[in-house]
Amino acid sequence: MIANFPYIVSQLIQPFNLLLMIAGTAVGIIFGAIPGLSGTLAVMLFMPLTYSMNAGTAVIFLLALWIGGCSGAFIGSVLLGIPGSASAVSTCWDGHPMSQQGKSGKALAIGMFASFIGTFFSAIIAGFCSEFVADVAFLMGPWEYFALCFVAITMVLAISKGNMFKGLASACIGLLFASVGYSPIDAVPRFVFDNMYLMSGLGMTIVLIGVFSVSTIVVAYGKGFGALPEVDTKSVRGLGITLAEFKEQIGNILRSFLIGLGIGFLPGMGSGLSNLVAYSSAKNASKNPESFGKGNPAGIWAPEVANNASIGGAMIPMAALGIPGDSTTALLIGALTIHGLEMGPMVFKNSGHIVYLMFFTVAVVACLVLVMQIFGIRLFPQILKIPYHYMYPALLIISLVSAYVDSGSLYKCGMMLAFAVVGIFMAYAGLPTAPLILAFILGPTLESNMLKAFQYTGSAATFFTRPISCIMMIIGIGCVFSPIIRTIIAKIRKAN
Amino acid sequence: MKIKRDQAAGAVLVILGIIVFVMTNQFSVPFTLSYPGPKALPMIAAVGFIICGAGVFLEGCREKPEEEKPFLTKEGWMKVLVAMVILAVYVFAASLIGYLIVTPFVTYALTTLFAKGSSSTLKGRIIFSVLLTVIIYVIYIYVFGLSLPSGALF
Repeated sequence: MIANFPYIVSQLIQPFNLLLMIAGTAVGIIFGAIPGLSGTLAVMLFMPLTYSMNAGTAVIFLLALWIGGCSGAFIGSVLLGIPGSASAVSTCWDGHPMSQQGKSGKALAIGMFASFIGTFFSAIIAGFCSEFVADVAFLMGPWEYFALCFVAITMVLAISKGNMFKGLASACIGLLFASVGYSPIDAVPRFVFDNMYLMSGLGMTIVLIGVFSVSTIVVAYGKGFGALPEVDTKSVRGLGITLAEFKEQIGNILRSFLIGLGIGFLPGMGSGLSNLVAYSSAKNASKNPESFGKGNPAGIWAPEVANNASIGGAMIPMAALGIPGDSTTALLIGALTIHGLEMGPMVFKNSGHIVYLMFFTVAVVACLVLVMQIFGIRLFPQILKIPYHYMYPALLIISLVSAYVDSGSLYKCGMMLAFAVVGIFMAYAGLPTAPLILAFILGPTLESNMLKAFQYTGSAATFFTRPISCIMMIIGIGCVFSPIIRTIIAKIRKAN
Repeated sequence: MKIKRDQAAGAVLVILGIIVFVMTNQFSVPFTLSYPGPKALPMIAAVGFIICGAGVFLEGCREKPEEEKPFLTKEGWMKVLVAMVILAVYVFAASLIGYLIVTPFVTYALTTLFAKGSSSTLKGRIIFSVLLTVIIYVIYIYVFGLSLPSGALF
């Protein structure tokens, strides 16, 4: 790690990189704060901009977007009562009541400091743990990698909104998209229809921007934007938290941090779950659980520390195993592949300097976010007042431009519009989006490891005879059948 | 009888599954238990579509026959269609006459469309459309050295 310091410092102090870090963080915060947008969408839209950058600059820019997005999500929750993204759902429950009581400044300050603590310390832990996890990963074969990918997808299914069939259907769409092009190992053309644009498979940017960005905006327009939300601007002043109040929350912060880090580490899980678990843990541990939901500061500390601690947690399997901790890290794995960085245990040997740059960047961006948020607290209400009729056309144009930059072809921009139709269908059918992202990005890894495993042993039984693989497969299968299992358990409890 | 959203979505998924299944069976490398080959992944997707589609359809049938809130009104679907057509025209026009000429017009059309019912001025929309076009152009071309469509006619 220490040997990489000169490279890391040289990258972080470059004026262009610093400028991109500040711009990325600001854009990320804006995307995170506005309900309907997210840091994931920011990474998706601006990823093609990094194609002309060197790997270090690209890492700094993409991570700034991601961290900014994660750290900005609480703004909408506190000021509007509408979460900026799924990671800040439970922040609404106490953040907005505090805001309604005229304590917006305090609620926002808690969100800022909680986000900083979660992100900064989880990045440091990730930096120390990842190489150790990577060493363990050298012992893993294609069976374990297949099982890990399988678990990553199925765990998202287990927590996906709506019924299980919809989550699975979304994952199947992802697998189908991942199948297009020449198959791994056998090089058989699949679903290419003699079209040269399909031979190399579907581009990640084209699919994801079409399915998520364009369709979301178009559907929002179809539903009608309505009036801009009312935001309380008067009580957004000062920070209003004292050291004594902070000390009171140390137990809550520590518990939430560990919950966030642990859930982030699990493949496929992320801040969307950790904030909910941390909130309920804080409520259960509290002496005044009835005060939750009425503006209890602990109800902001817990989810905000946890969802940001999931960042570091998710980075460990991302760097060490090449398995994403959540949908944004799945995107980042794809983006880094474009820059020639194959995440996984070998990355520490081949590109260790970039991996450690990632961890340092997250820590530095966490500090930058805190500074920007402290000085920009009065601007938060303005972010939520950006008129839809300017913001959405701009995002649509950027989506199309990104699709063009990604592929260098307007034909693929047309394809992106076709994927937007898929996205509209998914919104109509109520299919969740996270399983598609994970299945589409993990599909090639899942398939190539599955085929390699069969080539080595010629039997599916090996997936269950190797201990790690067996445990993962059982967890994965358990996740698929979790709704049925939950129903049976509930019935047994009721009968007793 | 009015078809529910889940029923329609389930039926589409089942049909998609059948199509994928039939197409997958045409791949030359056979599927065997000792080596599933290139058919495995799309086959998993196909079977998944059929099972999930049937599940979603049946869930839709089980739901109470209460009035389901429509996903979009007729007017809403028209808005979606118009927005998609504008984007398709944008892609086609950009391939002919390039990014710089088409983008301000399309941005203006979109802002005007999206601004219906809210307060915005003609001047504001025009300035925004031109500014957005120029800012994106400068960032992509001069800052990052990327290329944007120049148009087949130029």
